Amino acid sequence: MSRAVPNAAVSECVDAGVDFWTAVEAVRRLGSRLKSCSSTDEIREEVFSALCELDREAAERYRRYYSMHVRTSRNTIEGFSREKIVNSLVAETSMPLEVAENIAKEAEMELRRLRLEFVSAPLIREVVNVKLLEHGFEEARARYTRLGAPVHDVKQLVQRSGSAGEVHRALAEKVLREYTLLSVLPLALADAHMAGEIHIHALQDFPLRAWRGLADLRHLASPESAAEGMLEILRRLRMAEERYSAGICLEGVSEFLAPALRGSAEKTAAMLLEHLSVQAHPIAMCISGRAEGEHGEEAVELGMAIARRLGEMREFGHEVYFRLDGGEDYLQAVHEAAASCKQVRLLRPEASLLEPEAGEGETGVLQCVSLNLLRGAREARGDEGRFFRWLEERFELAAEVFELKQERMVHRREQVRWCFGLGVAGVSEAAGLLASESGDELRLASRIAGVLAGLCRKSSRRGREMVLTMLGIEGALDRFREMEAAEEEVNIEVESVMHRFCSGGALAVIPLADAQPLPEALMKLSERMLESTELRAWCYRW
Amino acid sequence: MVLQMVMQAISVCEMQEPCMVVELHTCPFSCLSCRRLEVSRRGRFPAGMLGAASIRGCEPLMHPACFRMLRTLNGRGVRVKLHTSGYAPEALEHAAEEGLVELAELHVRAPLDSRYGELTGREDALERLYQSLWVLSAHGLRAHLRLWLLPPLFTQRHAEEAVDAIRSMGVEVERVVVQL
Repeated sequence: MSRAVPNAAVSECVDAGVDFWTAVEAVRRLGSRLKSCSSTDEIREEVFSALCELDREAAERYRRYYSMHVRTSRNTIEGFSREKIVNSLVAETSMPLEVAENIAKEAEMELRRLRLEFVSAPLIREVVNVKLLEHGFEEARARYTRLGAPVHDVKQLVQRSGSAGEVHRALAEKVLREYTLLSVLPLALADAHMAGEIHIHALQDFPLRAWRGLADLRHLASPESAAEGMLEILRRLRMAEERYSAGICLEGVSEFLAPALRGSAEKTAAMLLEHLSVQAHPIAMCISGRAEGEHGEEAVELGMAIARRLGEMREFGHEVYFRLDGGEDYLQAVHEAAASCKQVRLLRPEASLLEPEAGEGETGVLQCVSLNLLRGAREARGDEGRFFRWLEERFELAAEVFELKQERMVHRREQVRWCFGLGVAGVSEAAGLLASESGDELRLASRIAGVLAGLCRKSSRRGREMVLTMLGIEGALDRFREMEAAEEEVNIEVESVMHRFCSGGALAVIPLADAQPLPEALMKLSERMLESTELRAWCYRW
Repeated sequence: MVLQMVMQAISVCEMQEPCMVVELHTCPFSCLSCRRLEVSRRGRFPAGMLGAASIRGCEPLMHPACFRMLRTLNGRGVRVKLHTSGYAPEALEHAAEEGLVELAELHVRAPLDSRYGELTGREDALERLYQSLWVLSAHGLRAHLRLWLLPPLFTQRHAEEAVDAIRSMGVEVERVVVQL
């Protein structure tokens, strides 16, 4: 009621439960005073005064009815308006106006029944959502609901977190994850994720970014100076931040910087690690120990300097992969780093982190979905046929997720060779469970790998390139283990079999029982790992 | 008594080569200094990859599967280091006679006097520890000592006295670790 219209004033009185004739009399008594009012609040004050003279009880009813205010999401306080609820319902859920009016009316009655002076926008939404559910509009409820976090969670986050950026990021990610589950993914896929049958990685970035990428710096032109090379690396990282949720792996860092070293390997290594350590977005580096080409010696020297520096730092925020293809000094330096810094990963000499490599461009995994093999094994109850049927059904779910992501990302124009990652989580546990009586875990692991690799090949032939991966899926594995209340189990032979098929990269975690392993002893262990296993990459956890 | 098989992992520090670690947790004590962690990791490694094994747990010799495991490892030529609380001297002697153990790590949890029984919750703990020490000495088994300090009840000085006493019994102590 923005203008002083007598009919509108009477309607307001009736809405508030004032008898029609009393309302008419009150408005009539106001006469021309009504027209001099400049705001709704003024009109209501005048009407209230007129009602007081006629009927105290009606006046009180009127006052209470119009004293309910809303604290809006724009941080303003406004009078309650049913019309706004109707408009938002129609706009957000596309429901017919009549239905929206009915829902809004019921919600308003419910709110007024509470006799609150102030209501918040979230409370109104909650009440409207209850009304939507009462009327069976479940889908409309999903579209109308609000995303956010409970006050308690935010309080905990604020109290425990180290930085404002961390709190902002955590809250934004939480909202986006909910948005993906509620609004982007079909119910069946969201349910499969929430039930722990599959894990859709980086849900918060599903509508925004790809999962992870690999760039080979060896194809870039050599920098003139170490500083210039560093700038190029940082530029790549900035681009990767926009492009990838789980970060990027830079292959050939030492080879790229080697021509610009000019005898300052230690200084360059220190500068590089210092720059990278302040980057919040994940980065992985891959370092080789083989001296190749004109600046091969310098590259190895830089690789060793990086390893030595890591050994001193102990804690580095990003993964560093060292390919075990160098001489004794290089391997010694790498294992000193591995014995000190838990972010060091060891890579088999001939292995790469992601195949197929894109050459001069980048290879990117657009999306990764991990399958909970342990769940499959438990549900199969020893029946192999049942397990593989379960596996194929979950593979289809993963393929649906990939299709959806591809549709979302189709507009992207980056020069990246895209593929999809099918994560294999819990293979040791699943093989152990399924072969608990027969003991032929390796045959079973081979069959699992063969079936999944076959499905990936089939998908690739149809135009959607898919790779098996056991890299970067630790989060999924931890979640699955927690949901299944399962102990951590690593069967190196089973994992070895899987690693052979994981062209999307694979990493095994080797549990150590020592409080502080010795570098020489770790080196011996790595030698054994190379001799006795076919693991592509591994790290030691103690 | 806790009876539980806890973990298999790798140790690169226990012996001169990487060895598998098996925890057979059977504990007859209720020590004040006990800091046993619940570990839920389990690793399995290719046969032949590791030529040595470290059998842990408070008193693995009291685990029903211990001897079967020791004989299997021995049959495969795997060198064995056995952690013991010293509470199972008969079993230790048995293992030593059969040549199942190359090295023993003895865990000492209190001063070697009347407090030993109090701090471990077993009156006969000290007597049995001495019997175990005689076994080590008699069979010439190499030994590591791990002393779990609990100041002021079990201090560095008590630990030094204990090491001296054990050496004086003719036990070949190769390494001493004092743990707080």
